[in-house]
Amino acid sequence: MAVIERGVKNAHSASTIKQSPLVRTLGAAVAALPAYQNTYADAPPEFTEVGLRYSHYSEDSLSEDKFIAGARGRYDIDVTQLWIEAPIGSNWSIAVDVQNDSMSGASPWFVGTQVDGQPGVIMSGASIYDNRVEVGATTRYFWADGNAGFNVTHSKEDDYEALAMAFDVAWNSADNARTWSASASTSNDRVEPVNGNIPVFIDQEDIDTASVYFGVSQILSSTAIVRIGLGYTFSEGYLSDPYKLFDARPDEHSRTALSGGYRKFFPEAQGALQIDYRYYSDDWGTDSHTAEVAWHQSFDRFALTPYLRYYSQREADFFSVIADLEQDFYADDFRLSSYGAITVGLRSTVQIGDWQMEGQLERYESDNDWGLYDGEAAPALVNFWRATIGISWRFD
Amino acid sequence: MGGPARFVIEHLSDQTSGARAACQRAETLLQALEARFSRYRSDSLISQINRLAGTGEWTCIDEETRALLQFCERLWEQSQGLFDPTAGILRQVWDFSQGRHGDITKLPNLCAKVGWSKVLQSDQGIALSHAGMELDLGGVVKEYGADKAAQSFREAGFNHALIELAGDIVAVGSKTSGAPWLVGISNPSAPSETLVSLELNNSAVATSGDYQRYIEIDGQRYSHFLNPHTGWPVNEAASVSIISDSCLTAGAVATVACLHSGEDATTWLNDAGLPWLSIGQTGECTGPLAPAHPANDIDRN
Repeated sequence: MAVIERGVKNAHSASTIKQSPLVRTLGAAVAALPAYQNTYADAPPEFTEVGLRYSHYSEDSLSEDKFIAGARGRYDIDVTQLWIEAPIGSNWSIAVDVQNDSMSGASPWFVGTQVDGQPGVIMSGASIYDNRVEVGATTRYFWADGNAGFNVTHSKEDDYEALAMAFDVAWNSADNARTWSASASTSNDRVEPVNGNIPVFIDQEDIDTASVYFGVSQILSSTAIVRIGLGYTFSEGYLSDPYKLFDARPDEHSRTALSGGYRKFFPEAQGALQIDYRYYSDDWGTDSHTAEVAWHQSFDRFALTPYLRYYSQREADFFSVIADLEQDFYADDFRLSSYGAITVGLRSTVQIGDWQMEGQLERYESDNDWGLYDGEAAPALVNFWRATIGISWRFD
Repeated sequence: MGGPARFVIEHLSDQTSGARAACQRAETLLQALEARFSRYRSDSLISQINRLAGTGEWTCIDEETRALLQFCERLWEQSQGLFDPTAGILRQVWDFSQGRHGDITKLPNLCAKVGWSKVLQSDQGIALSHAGMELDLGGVVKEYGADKAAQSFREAGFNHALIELAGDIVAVGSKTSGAPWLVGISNPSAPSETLVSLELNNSAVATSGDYQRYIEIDGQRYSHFLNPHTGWPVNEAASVSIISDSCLTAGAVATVACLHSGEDATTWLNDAGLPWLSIGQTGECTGPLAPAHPANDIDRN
């Protein structure tokens, strides 16, 4: 053991200085000051947060002119989410998230031809009911220059069970102006479709999925930040939809997505412009563009964020409006067709003391004519409403 | 800011003019802070707030000032009221610049006007509830200024720099060679003598101490730190130095340590968990940064 030169201490850097509860408490106030907003070190949440959120998702009924048989009423889903996130010591946090989805309604079974020669949808018969429970736990370690998290999520419903694990890490450059982030995840899903209103033809199948992501964000100035990320996902197994009569998809699926975003804060207006874009491409021939613009307006304890999202997708190689059973792979699922979609929404939050209330309402409409790509219109394209309310509470 | 400012930037030869411009910008930032927060300037924001004390009129404040006040409130809470930006009026009795005191019987009346809870904040700004109250952010603005100057260097692309502001030091990165910056902690009783040298890399060291600002009463030396509850100077450490990732945090922890008595100061410093050095009135060093501390007997390989 060597004794250091008397009177000269080991080098002290921000990354080696520990964050005690006292320093973290002061640090939260420090971080609010302009001189530190680009630079303050990563730290666990200062408070424990408990939250409850409820969403209702409601698809419009299938229009009369596209309907052949079954039930016209489509899915309604009630989503209830409960979460807690808490700091543990000075460098760790843990979060637990429990979600329950209750689904009811009918879904498109297959596409046939109406008496006028136009394609029409045969829906599943009477309403289908299903319930899904998902439990996820994330633990995260923070150090001065970044943080890393590990997540395990289990999801179970009558006919589907999934277990997923994910690891992510983010670290900051020496000047804290740039943050790199990377993640990797894997999941194993088991499909056990239930014979009900419509017949199914498999007993049990598996799907394995692995994903990786790498991204970087760069602070451009004290009021602007830009980010870009690249993700890749590969799935293999039974990738067809067992509840559709004519659906035979390849048993491998590679997807790549390039995403970017820009945030610009306007201090005079107390508002921020948010622009996001995502390009997606897969080996089934599908590619898509998603663009979103939002304005986040703060009013002291109240904030409003209107947003507009545009989506356009090119159809999969094996999609046709009426499934072509002569091919090796075929599907008439509207989600694989060429179409465009517009979402208009409004998010709001209200902060009252340690409580925060949130609300969100959005309308999604899709149409073959709104897309950028050629392709025949799928009759089952969906429109829906989604409303969310939530409340969360922070405490020491 | 109560002392000299010194900027050191290590840069490439073709960046000389840029480095000069960065120094000028940092100087301007510090001057702007002083213009807003100095209690010695009659046109400062602080003087305006103090002039309106007890009138019920609000002074409008900007977001940065509000955030700085929020930091003061956190420190006031965490220190059980020992750090109090309204304690400055106690200097009406204690004149540290002259090393003498006035009528000590005035202290109870002055203490009645001290108290962060008497500082009112609303959407309209800030107001002091009692006439005669004074707000003084001198305990945090210098350290904040050092951090702000450091941030301006980073924004200008200079990531190897040192800022010294009246004894508080921020290291922006390391030296260009990769070696840490070497800074010295002065001996309070002989300020020209370096007692301990510290290596800093992207971190800050702040020192609070009585140095030459003290009062002797009946042969007893009292520091310029005033207990806002009693109104009396605190007779404890001659200086406390703290290393943190921000000079503001380091200075805050050091200042409160100087306001604590005896074991309470040690408890506070240990709770903060930051590297610290306390130098007593007779020159004895304690804490993880002290030369004789066991933590320094480490293998550097």
